[in-house]
Amino acid sequence: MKRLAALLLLAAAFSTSPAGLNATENATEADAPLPYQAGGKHLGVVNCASSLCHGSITPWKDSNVLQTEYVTWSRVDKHANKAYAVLFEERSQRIARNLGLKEPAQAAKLCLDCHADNPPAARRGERFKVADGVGCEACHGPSENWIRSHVAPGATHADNLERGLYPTSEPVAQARLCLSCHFGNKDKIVTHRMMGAGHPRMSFELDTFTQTEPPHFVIDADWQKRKRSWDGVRVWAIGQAIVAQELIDVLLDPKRSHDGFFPELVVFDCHACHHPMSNVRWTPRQGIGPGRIRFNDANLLMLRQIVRQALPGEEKDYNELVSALNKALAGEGGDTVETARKLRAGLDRLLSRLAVRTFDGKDLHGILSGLIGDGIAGEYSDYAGAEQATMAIGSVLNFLAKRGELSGVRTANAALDRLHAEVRNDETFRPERFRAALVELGKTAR
Amino acid sequence: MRARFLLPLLAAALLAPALGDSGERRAPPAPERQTVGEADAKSAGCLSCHAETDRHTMHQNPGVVLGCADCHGGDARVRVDGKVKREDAAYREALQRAHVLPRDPRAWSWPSSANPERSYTLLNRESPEFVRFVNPGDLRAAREACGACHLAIVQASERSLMATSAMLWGGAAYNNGILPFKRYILGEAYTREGAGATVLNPVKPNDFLTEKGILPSLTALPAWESVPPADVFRVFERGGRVISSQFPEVGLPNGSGALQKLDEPGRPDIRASNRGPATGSRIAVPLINIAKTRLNDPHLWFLGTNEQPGDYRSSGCSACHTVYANDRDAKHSGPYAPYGSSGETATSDPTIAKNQPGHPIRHEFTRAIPSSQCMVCHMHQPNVFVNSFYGTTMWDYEADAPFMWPQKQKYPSDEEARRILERNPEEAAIRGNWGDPEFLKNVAKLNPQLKDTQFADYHGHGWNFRAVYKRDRKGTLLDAKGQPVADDDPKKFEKAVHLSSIHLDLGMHCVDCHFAQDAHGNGHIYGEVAAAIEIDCADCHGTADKYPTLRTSGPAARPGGLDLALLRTQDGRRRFEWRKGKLYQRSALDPEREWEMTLVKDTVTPGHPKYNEKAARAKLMHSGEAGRAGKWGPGAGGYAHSNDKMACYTCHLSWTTSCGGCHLPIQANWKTERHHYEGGETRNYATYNPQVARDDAFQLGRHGPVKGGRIAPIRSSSALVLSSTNANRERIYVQQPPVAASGFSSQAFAPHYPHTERKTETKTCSDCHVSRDNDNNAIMAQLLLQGTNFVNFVGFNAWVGDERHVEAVQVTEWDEPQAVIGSYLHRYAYPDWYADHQKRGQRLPEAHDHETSGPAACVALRGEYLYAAEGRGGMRVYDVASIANKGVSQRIVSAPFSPLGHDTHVASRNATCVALPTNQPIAPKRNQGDLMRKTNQEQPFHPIYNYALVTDAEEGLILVDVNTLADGEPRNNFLERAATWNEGGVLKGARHLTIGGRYVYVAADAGIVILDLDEPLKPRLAAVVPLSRARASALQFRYLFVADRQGFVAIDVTQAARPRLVPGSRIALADARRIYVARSYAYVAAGYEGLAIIDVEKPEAPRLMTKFSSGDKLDDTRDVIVGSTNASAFAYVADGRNGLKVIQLTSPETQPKLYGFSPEPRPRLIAWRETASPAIALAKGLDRDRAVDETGGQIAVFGRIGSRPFTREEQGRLYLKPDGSVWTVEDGP
Repeated sequence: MKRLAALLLLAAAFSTSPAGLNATENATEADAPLPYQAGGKHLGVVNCASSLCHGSITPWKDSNVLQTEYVTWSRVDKHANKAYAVLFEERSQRIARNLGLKEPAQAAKLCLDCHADNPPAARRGERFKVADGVGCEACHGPSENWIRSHVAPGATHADNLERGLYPTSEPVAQARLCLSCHFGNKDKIVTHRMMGAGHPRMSFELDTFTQTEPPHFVIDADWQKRKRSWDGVRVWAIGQAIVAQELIDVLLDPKRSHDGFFPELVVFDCHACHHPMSNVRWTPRQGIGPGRIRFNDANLLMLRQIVRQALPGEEKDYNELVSALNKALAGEGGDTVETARKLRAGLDRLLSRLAVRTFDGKDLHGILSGLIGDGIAGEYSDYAGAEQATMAIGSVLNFLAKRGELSGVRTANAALDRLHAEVRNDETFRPERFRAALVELGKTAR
Repeated sequence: MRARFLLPLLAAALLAPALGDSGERRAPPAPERQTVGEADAKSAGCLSCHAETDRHTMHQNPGVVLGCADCHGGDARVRVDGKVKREDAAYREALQRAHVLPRDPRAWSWPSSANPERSYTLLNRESPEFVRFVNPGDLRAAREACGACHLAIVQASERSLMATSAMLWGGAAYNNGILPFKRYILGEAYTREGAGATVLNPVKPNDFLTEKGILPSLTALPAWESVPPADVFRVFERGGRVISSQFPEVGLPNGSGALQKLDEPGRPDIRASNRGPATGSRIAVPLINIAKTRLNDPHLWFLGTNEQPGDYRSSGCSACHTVYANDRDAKHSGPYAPYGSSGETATSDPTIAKNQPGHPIRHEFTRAIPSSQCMVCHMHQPNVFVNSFYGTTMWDYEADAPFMWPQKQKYPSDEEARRILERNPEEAAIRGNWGDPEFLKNVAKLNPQLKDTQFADYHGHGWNFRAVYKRDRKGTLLDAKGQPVADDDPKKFEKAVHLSSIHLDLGMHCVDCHFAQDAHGNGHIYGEVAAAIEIDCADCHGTADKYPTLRTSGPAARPGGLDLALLRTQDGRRRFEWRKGKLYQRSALDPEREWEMTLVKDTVTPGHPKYNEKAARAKLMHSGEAGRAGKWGPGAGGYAHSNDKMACYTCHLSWTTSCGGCHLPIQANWKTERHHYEGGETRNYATYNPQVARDDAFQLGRHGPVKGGRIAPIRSSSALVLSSTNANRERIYVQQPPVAASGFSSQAFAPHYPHTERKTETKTCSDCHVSRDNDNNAIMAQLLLQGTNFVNFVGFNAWVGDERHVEAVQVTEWDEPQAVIGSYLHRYAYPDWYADHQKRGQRLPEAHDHETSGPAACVALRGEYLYAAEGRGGMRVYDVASIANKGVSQRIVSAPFSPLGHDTHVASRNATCVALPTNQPIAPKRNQGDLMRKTNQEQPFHPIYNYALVTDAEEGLILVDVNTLADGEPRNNFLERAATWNEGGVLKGARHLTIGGRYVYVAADAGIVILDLDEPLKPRLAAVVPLSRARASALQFRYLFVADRQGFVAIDVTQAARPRLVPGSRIALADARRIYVARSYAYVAAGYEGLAIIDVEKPEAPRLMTKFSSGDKLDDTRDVIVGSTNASAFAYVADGRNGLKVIQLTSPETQPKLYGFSPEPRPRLIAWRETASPAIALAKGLDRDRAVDETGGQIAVFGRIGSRPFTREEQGRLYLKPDGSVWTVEDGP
């Protein structure tokens, strides 16, 4: 992670914008150790859940946070209701057995690391309960060092961060945090081996999932005053960039990129292989011939739109690099490692740009039409791409609607619903129908 | 009525100046927020001595940032040097500077920090600073100490029933006739400075809130010295000419008041004041009990009494949230059981004495509150249900008496008696072994040796509690499979099922169902406990149709209900969790324990692993005709037992408490402390003496609107009888039941939740409906609250009608326990006096009589009046108020003033019998107007309750309005006939009558003549059952049992107007005279054959069990009554030749099944007395389980607005088809 921080600092140095100072802070925050890596004890959900703390049924009028966070999390957030409970289900038990784990799923570190807040025993407080699933401190960091001070009069967000509160409001940090499980990182990842054992395919998009979590916070003027100005598009973009980085990091890591004779297959498009043999579904894309394993480039496809808006001068290079990587990985020629490195460096640049870039309505419309255009052009013929594009379109439409820059919100929603219907089931995904739905969407959503 | 304290509850900001008490420094309120450094500074000095503690901030949540002085006040800057020893003067000096000092160091045993014993109003007299110092959670201090974060909860707690006790004060005021407001107006609250206060509801209740049971305000209890009496006892009437010897008159022109002191020897002036009501001792005695006798209290405003296992606790917030060691039984105390029951601490604070009672186990707040902590207050037998939750009830002084009474009779000195009664208000304790705290503490250790019962290990108030076991109706112990357990089986108490709540058996504690709001209240003021509860069975168990929502739905639940899924245990787990279609609950106390909830829907779904056919049948029984035919299953238009019709616990209880009576004898000479408000000593004190606490009465009625008007179990609750001994030790009234403000009898009843839920030992079909075998007539009578004549109260005197006299024979001791002389209890409680009795040949020494004008063939006692039919002498009502007054020479009088001032004689040609619709004192005229009908939602009396009914062999039926005897006005007692009826001479030869609501059953020459007195002054002939020389009858539910020339016979009076002589019910007796039916046995005074006991469990197939004559000692029996005293049943027999006979029917010695609903009688003659002339009649003992008559007329007061016994029509729904014929049930599917 130090590397990323250095790059960002560098970016900040090049920058002449007044956001420079922010960027420096961002760098510190983005570099924060993830909650599972941080020191200090995890004290348990119950301490936050008091009705006088974050367990209020109704928001407080005079508080700068809702104080209902526990209630929202507990009632409707799958981190509370599903993450840990799912480990008891037959499928989870089977996965653990298939993987040859010694413990059942609900006791296996491999599973708990993502399905719960799973600090080592020495860092569990007296009322910590792993059964709470992905509890408060799984994201906000172990509270031992800040729980007493964060309620002090005049305690600031900065004070809290300094004592170890995880900077979830910082987009890069947020992306790293969420993706540490929803995609994986160097410490934990759902490998193809785990999927083979029965784990479902991972599906994630930072902004969409933040909205559907649902958020237990409201980003209002006060929030932005205390923390930072918030731009949902930036979050989406950073999310895409970080996944892409992680993907490339897997490719570049000699250990993680291979599992025995085969490469780590999780970086490839699942549906490239996982379909009945009778279903010969190859279509040309990215210059990759039939019978080749396709890289899961869904995030890279999304980044096309982001690069187009954020680093317009580099769009061509980026597209070529992505194409080259796809080809190299598929064995159509070219040096995988070299291409990946280049792309990785580009992504770093992009990230540093994103840290200070704000997106206006014009950008959003550009991204939207880019997504629709690429889709109609057949870029999302793979399910993973279509899925990402659908979530991205949903987010962009949402941002536009919030800005009041979307005409016909209701018709756009209806069109979006039809698009969603097309990606609801990966096994019955039909690219041509998806494309048709996109065409319809393109007509209405402006 | 005027309250003495009308101060508003002051906001914490309004301060009283500290009046120079040393050490009083007003610390600022604990802040909501502060830095860790700021907080630490407020602990710095404290820790120089206290060194360490269990939870620094009391809160387990590390997010709470507090220093010692934030909560406690005091001066945290004072510190001692590490070298200073505790014995050093410097240590003491630092202590004095750091601590807040008490105003009354001796009362606190300062510098001890243990809660003092029985401190009561000490907190009101202390400085608020000191109160805060010793217990920041005290409600006087909590706004300052806890309010910054918990103000809403503190305020709600101040208004909650646990603080205000409104349900007790209001109930006592209403049921004793002191205040006519069933929406109660009295409650306890104090200001920060300890002055009595009024509490206001945060909003003025509108109609909706009122319907929910919410009250606008509660006012302080007025001092008893200034409240007029409500009791209609003769001593409270105008008079008191000579009372000035005790009550100095001022302004009279003679210095010594000598002119007033013209007391007549033998006819003392017993009136309580020579001025108006609420002067002298002409006051509301129940208020003395509330103020001074420790019944339920102390409550939240005061510390626990801290002297007996089960009495250790703090006050206010800390009363519940800091746990004390009270009970060694882990089912009651959970993880705290190992800390014992002596209130000793296990704190790490080195300055706290470890082997001293009165300290919390730890300096720590918890929500893992064990039931043993709730029990400190919720232990009063008939009112609160932690006992029944435990499966225990109050011990009756009889079971295992040999272990509990000293071998040598105790004669406690006044000093010794006082010392014991301060701890335990039951007077029996001054004679029993358990008056000794060391004995009391280890009563439960006797269990392995005991043969009658098993004791619990908690003894709050100094009481003992016995376990309740599963038994059949005859009292045989049963095991889990329903198989009998032998009475002599040494392991019988292990084999028999202990009827604790199934929830307790799972390891649950009170707080596993009653969450924060049920304890703190929702901020509104309530007067009824059930109205203030948010949880309902269905919230966790669902119903037959729906799975639980985990949202509270009780009367006090917030809109939408509390989301139980959000709750967490103290140890941090979610309390509730659904897993794979199963619902689990985590224990609030045991971090390792969880249990699967039974979901009603599963149990009624065929094919589900939890399916239970019996449950499905009960829950899915169809309503209406289909159900009566036994049809059940899903898909009915309506279910007979649906959740909206009846409370779940109506069936799912295993037993209910029934307090069949307590005796409160007031003693003018006992100067005692007031336990509330300003405290202080005054004269007068009443002990508190449970008489009959049974576990076998299952009764139903209706909840009030707050609980949806659902059918619910009804308990007898606090049926009181009051006595008074004045300063001259004259008993100026004895064992008098009060009358409620509604005019109903105060033998009170109330719907309740017994907390004795079981899965197997529930109620079943034949507990509420006529069984196919027709063997539950008595059960039905009990169920419908018509009474079973079994727990009737025959008190100090048995009232006898003689050939030429009326007579009172003293049959019990006056001291407590008021054991029947010669009885089993008498032998153990009073061995010396028992021996004396045996030496006297079992003859009772004391009786008082009055000559009559003819044979007193029927006598009836109501209140202080004895009604007698006297043949040619007509009907006369005697004043018997002074029956136990040693100062009175003629204790039964016909005219207490002169015949000109009082005439309660009604002449008639040949009065053969007199009967009252109820022998409970009532005052129908009080029950009128909008206050009663609309606000209090009381039913009207049936008009028959205005009258006494007299049979005259020549004149027929005579009605006499007797209401003036119940109005407290001595100048209008002139009785006259209201009506005389004998249409067509059908009542010729009338000689006995039985009243069953509007129907009257007269034994006359024609047989049993049944009259309908729906319009009492216009009787209508309903039917005649021809019988030869019918002599008397007794009524029980559907059957009238008759004594006639041939002996005994039963008449089916299900439809009174269509009676049916039961063919096979005839039992030949040569000389059957009178009949008394108590539960499933009929007792027949059978003349020279003695006392015939007939088993009438199956009224259509009665069985003669025995003719008891005790070796010819009973050979002219004329009348018989039955009553209960403590655990045993007694028969009293009027024997023409030999006088009054007292027969013990059951005792732990003769009948180990004595706790059954109807144990088989084992008669034993224990006492007798010759009467002034041949004994021919007996007055029935006070009905204690009769709330309603056979035609739906309410008799006794019901607590809870709008609740009531069933109407006639509702009673009928349980067993009658629309055409009036009976339908029956079988228990098996």
